[in-house]
Formats: sequence, structure tokens, C-alpha cells
Amino acid sequence: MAQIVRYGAYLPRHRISVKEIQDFYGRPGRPRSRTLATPGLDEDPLTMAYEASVATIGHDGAELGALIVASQAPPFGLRKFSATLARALGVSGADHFDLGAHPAGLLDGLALADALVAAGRGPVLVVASDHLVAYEERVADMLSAGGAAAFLIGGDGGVAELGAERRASEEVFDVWRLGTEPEARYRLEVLFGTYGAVAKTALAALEEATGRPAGDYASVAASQPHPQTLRALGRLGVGKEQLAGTSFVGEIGNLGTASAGFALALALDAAEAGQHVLAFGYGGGEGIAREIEVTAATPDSGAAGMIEGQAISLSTYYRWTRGRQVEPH
Amino acid sequence: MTVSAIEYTRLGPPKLRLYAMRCSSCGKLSPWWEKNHCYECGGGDLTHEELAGGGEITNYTVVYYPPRDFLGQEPYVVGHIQMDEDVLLPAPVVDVAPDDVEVGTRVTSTLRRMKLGHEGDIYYGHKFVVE
Ligand SMILES: [Zn+2]
Repeated sequence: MAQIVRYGAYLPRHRISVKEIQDFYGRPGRPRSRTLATPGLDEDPLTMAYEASVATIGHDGAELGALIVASQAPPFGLRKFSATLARALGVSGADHFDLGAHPAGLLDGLALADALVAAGRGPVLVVASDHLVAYEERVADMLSAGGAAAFLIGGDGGVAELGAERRASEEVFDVWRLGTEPEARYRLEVLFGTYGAVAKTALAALEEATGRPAGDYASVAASQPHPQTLRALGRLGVGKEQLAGTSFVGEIGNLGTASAGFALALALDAAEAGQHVLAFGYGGGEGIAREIEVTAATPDSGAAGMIEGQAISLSTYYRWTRGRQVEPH
Repeated sequence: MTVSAIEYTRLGPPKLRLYAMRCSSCGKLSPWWEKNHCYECGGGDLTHEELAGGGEITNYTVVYYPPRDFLGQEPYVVGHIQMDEDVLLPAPVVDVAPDDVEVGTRVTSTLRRMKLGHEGDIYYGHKFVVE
């Protein structure tokens, strides 16, 4: 199995209070997140992917065999996000691949990287970067935030080993988009129900493969589109302490494709050699669970320290949101 | 050297990579837009050289009324950055309150959106953040 050699994370530093947004639009109810990690007007998933990549491989990508980018919000269509990122990183010899349309794309990227490394085409940099542009006063917008995480996958010299992976999926419409329409459609009750259902199936299959029940991992790094989805994991035997260091949706919002990646960076930062981490990605009715064994002391990516950020005013947030709609990001 | 708020936007499309031009005659670096003329000796044989991204602010101004491409980002800092490789580059310094910047502040480069071209091409380039 391939290994995580290095990893890095990036969060934009700006934080808008969700309560202020709700008050402004007259939306009742308790905010689902305290703040949103909001990219500046000159940031987008490409610039955030660049930051997470530089944090992982520095300015030296000469050795890379492949670069995989997962995002639901590439800044442009009909051309490759990964190709532009490769040029920005100065990576010339690597193959580059885009993974789109799925918040669990990071877990798909790890599976592909595992196979590429086994085929001698590594090392592979897997980057997940997202920011679903917020529209006004929709429930999903109240959690829409941005961030990125990157993982260098190689054959040896790593700090953690990719273990078994199991998947489960159901045909549902929970969060989706028709064609190129700009705004997501969503049925939160379907999201909550399906997240729990496919997590249950995937975790049971993973337990069968590894002999390790979900409650026995040092921590669980999960896609967290909404705080409710973390509670679904609790009902499957995942303890509060396993999620304590990897939960952030209630602090900074939904990072989309970067969600599971940022959680994994947090989990690896806190892990010790010999421990096991469970990575779980969810999107569009599919759940992907992977065991990761920490084999050496992990470097500190600084992910935990990025969560706090700096407050911006509602007027700044509003100006940036307007700006993104005028000039699509 | 004075700082012009709009100088940076007049320098042509910014670049995905941060580099400067090395003169084969005198060995000095000139800014990236100097393709054929060395600032030091006037030599015409210059080659690309990548920069590591670290530098120091030697002069700056705060932009409150930005050119069109930077609307919505004001107020922001535009500075002259003395790069560690010994070349001076003008560039925005972002993610920092203008009050927290001073001459001598250490900065490091970051890739950011520069502008959306009138035909929809996205120009990326390097801005700087405080280290
Ligand atoms: Zn010269």
C-alpha cells in the first residue's frame, strides 16, 4: 500500500459571523456554524490549492509523477484545473488529472494515487480545494466556506500508510445541480439520512476487512457538510473524543471537497506512530471509508491554528459575495 | 522610487510563476517584465530565473480608490518588495491591515487572482503576505 509522505492544509484567514448573515437576511434559528472561512476576493480554489500544495511540496515538484486535483468549484470549465495548478507549481514532468463534482473527491484521489504509485507512476500529489460560491439567504449558503488540503502519496518514506478502503452508495438526490446552473439544489433530510446509511454500510465492510470497529480508531476524519452529519457518525459507534480534534463545520462551515482533507490533516497532526485514523468521505449518496495507519511521527501542518482566523464585517462579506457573482469565481 | 497605485496593473499579464531576469553580462537581476534590457548595465541577453518568494517591504502605499480590476479589495497595500535574490518588484501585500505594514516588514509570495480579462481569461499572479 502507498504512503502519505507529506501533507499540508490551507484556510483563508477571513471569518464572517453566520449570526450576522442570518440577522441581516432575517433568517431565524440557531446558526449551524459560528463563522464561515471566507476566501478573499482575490482567492479561489486554484489559489487555495496552490497554497496547500506549496505547504506540502514547497516549490519543488520536479519528482512528481502525477498531480490529482479534486474540486466542485474549479474557477473555469472546459480546461484542466490540474494543468494550471501544475504550471503554477512549476511541475512539468507530471501527468495531471481533474476529479470533479463530488465532495468525497479526496478519497477518490487517494484511491487513484494508491494505484498510480503501485504502477510506478508516483509520487502523486492529491489536492482537494473548494469554495462553493454563496448565494443569498439559502440554507446551504449559511455553511458555504472555502479551504484546501494536499497529500503527497509515495511508495516509501512516509508518515502513514493507506490501508483498506470500502465504499457504499445509494441513488439519491441530496445535494446536486442541473447542468451548469450556478446554485445547488438540496434536500437536507435526504443528505442526513443517506450520510448515515452509507456510512453504516461502508464502516461495517471496513470493519470486516480490518477487524477494527469504528470506535477503535484514534480519530475519525470525516466529510462534514453539516454538523448533523457528524452526529450520524456518533450513532455508528464513533465517540465524541474521536471527532473532537477533527470537527470544524460548526466553527468555520462546509469546506466541500476540502472538508475530509482538512479533517485528515488535523487527525494526522495529532496522531502518534502506531495509531490508526479513519478517513470518511461522503458525497451524492456515496460513502468512502479508508483506514490509515500512522507509521512515524507526523509533522505539524498547522491546520488547528488556522481555524480561528480574523473577523471581517458583514459589508465586506456582502461586497465579496456580490463580486463573485459579477465575476464568477 | 515612489509607489504608484496603478503601476502594477500596467505591467501586462501577471504570471503563474514568480521570476526575474538574470543578465548574462553583469549577473544582476532585473524585474520580470524586462525581457531585453538589464537595469544595471543595459545588456540585452537576459534569462528567466525563478525566485524563492521571500522579500522585504522597502516602500508602500495604501490604496483606497483602486483601479477597476481591484474593486472590492480596498483598502489594500501596494509595496515595493526587495526580493532576497536582490531585485525590486512592485506588488500588492494582502491579508493584512494597512496599519500592520511598515518598511522592513518581511513578506512571502502567494498566488492570487489579479483580474478577469475582458474576454474572460483569468489572470493569476503573485501578491505577498506578511511572513
Ligand atoms: Zn547587466
